[in-house]
Amino acid sequence: MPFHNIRGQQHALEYLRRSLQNQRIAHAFLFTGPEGVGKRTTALALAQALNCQETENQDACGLCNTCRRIEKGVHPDVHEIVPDGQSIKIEQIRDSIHREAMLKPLEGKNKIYLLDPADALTLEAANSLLKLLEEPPAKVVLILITTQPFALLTTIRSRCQEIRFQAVARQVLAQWLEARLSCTQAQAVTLAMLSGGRPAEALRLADEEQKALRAQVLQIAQKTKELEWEVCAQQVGELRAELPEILMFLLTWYRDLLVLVQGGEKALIINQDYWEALQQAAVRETAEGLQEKYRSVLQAVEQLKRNINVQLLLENLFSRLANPLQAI
Amino acid sequence: MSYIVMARKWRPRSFESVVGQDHIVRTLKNAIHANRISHAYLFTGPRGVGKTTTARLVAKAVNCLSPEVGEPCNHCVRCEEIQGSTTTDVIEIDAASNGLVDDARELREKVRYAPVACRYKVIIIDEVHMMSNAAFNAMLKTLEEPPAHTVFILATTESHKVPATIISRCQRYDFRRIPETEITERLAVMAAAESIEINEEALHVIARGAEGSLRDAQSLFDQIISFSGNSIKTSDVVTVLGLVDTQIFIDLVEAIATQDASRALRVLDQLVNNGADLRLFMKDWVEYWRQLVIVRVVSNPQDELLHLSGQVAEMVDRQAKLFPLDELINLAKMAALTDDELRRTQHPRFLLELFLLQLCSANRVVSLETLWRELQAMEERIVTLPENVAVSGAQVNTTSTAVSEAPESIVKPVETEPTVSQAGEPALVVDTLEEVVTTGYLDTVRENWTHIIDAVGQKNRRVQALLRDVTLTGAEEGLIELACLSTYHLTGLEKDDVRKLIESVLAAELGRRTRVQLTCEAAETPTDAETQIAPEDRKKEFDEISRKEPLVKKTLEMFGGQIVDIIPKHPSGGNK
Repeated sequence: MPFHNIRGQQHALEYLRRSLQNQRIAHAFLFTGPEGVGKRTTALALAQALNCQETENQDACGLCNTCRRIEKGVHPDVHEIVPDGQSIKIEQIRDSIHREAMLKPLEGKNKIYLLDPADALTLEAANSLLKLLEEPPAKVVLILITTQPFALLTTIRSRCQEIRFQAVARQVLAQWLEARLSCTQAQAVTLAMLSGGRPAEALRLADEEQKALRAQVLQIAQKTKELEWEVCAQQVGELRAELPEILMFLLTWYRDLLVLVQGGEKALIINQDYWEALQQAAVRETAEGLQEKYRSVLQAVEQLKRNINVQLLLENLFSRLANPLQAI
Repeated sequence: MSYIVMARKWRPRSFESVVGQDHIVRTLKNAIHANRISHAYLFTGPRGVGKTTTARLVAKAVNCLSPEVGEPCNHCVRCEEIQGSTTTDVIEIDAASNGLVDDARELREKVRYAPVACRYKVIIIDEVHMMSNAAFNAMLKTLEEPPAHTVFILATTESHKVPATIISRCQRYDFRRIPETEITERLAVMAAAESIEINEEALHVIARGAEGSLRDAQSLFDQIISFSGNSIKTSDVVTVLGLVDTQIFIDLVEAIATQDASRALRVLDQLVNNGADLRLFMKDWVEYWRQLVIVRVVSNPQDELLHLSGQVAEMVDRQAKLFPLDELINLAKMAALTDDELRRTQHPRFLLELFLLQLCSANRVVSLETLWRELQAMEERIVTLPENVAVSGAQVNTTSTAVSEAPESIVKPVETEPTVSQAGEPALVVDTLEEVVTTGYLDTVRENWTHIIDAVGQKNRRVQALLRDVTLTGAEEGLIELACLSTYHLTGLEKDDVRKLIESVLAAELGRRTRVQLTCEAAETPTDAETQIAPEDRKKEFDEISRKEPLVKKTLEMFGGQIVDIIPKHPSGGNK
């Protein structure tokens, strides 16, 4: 997909377009930004622009043989390196970059290497790229893609031109959603905030299954005061959905309560469609207690990334939500 | 693509143009001039400060045919060969991709042969920290006593990963971070040579963003040139670097000082909506906290530790005075911790919001010093008070806590007993106190009451609403009594943070520390009812309640036991 078909990300696209125009394309880029906002698409568009046979205004045509092969991932000069298992290993870098980068591009224009995600590089693999990133052979462009720039070596970051991709502004996204899904404004705003400004994510959350899940999770959240914590943990465990999603919904609930208790107005609330329920629940809470609970959920969300026993995690979480002060 | 990035194009070709490493350059130049060349060097230091560059310069300088006081001439055959890397006598190895023991053995073989054309065979091993342990050990003998005419130069950003046995065989040179002023000067030279228009301030912003690394500065500069062509404005730099306007920091700090959570969140919301990178933002904000602390300590915003321009300096100075020093240090510390967490989290926004809400909530962590000062002040006040008032005041204190804890007994029956027994005596004090209350003072409080409610409303609307439904029944110096309509109001008002909020407003409005005592008309005060129960009756009641407790029931079912005795928990509850 050439640049002119990509929506949003004006800043990043404008930067690339100007670089192409001034013939100042760096040899190493680092694309950073949240998941699902178009980093990889843009990287492929850049590969097309650098290889297209019939460029127009520094942009690829998107129709020629080269462009179509790049889009399909079968072009011999455009290589995408993805994790083999958990990480990108040094053997992969050796095989596909070190051995080949010194050779001329097969079809004569530019050789592009996409490393996606760059934070999956092992320490050895990352280090082995340093010399190459600093002084690559002519006609080689490396594009590193990551959501976590701080997880990379500083020595890597210092050798790349960093281009930041942004989430879509809330109002813009909400308006778009309202028109597209023909839903109420409160629902659109909620979706926009829940998705963190990522259109694709917002659409996914809008589907019925997700809506039902969210309703169930918030139902349980409202009952944490009445029910025993074991029961809550069990009910959540029985929801048969991805735990990260469940915990995210839970997180927004406690966040909203805390915002409410500390005097935030309605515009700042994520779960706007639960405004009344939130207000009722907020009466029974204190700011410190909620801060503690909010932190507990946040910690649980982070712990999920590590290999952890889900049942223990849930039980620990809900017992802490039931007695926040005992956790100290 | 004939385009080469700045960092490569401007790689120094003489020691003269190496920036910010005078201590190293001078030593090396003199050593080469005096022909006292060591056989092994180790260059360490942060990224992008000139390690590889200097290593290549040494290779040139020791081989140059017509050196000028240790400087390579850059014109002779050797210099040109080395510059174009067409000689076999200068070998540059990437240890990160060739760091195995076999590579080390191969290297040892190469070292054995004398140089072909050059005077010295120079072996540059870059990223040496990635060599395997076996490879390091295989090099030990060669490094200690290499053949004459061989110079090893090892370069790395992580010297702690290099074994001590290697380090002790090399001359070690620690490269420093390059000061901002020197980076700025260098960038100005580059801009002039490339005929790029850029003002001093913009250069400063780039230099600051580079954090002491010239390559970072050059990369950023490159990026900005690609973005805006040959004429660069400060705003372009700010856009490309994704910097946040200082006003945002000022607003947030102000919101924290006034404990305005709502405002803080609005500012953050705006920031997110504008697509700012929260991790970058936090990094800069931590720097801002540092400035506040330093201004507070040196009490001169123009101090050279800060590099602040006039207007910002004034602002920083003003904001630093919003907090006592110990609190400021504490806040800065919390900011730094949050910054650290932010780098790892997948949900920066949620984390940052929690951070802001914590800082904006009524009880921030108070340092011991502040507590001590408050205690002393309290002590003084007590000494100056007439004796009987002091005593009754102290007793009322226990009463109010007892009354406030009692209703919780409905929820957690096991914990009530000690609280109730404590409440027995002080209940009498409440009665006697009511008689003592001076009606004169009550009237003055009544006059101010609406005003007080409004003042509370400015801090928290919810509490204001609750207070409107409450009647003021009594007041004396240091204590006011409020009667609640329902238990709903009672539970709402007796929370610790709400109580603190009201008391802080009272202190401001009435000009002295004033406690709040809450009573509830609807639910007949549980203290009175329960204190009359005989101990045995109470025990029986406890027994019943505990049997109904689901957890106990389940335990009994599971193990088939029976209840022998009931021991109440300690009144402080929970933190055993």
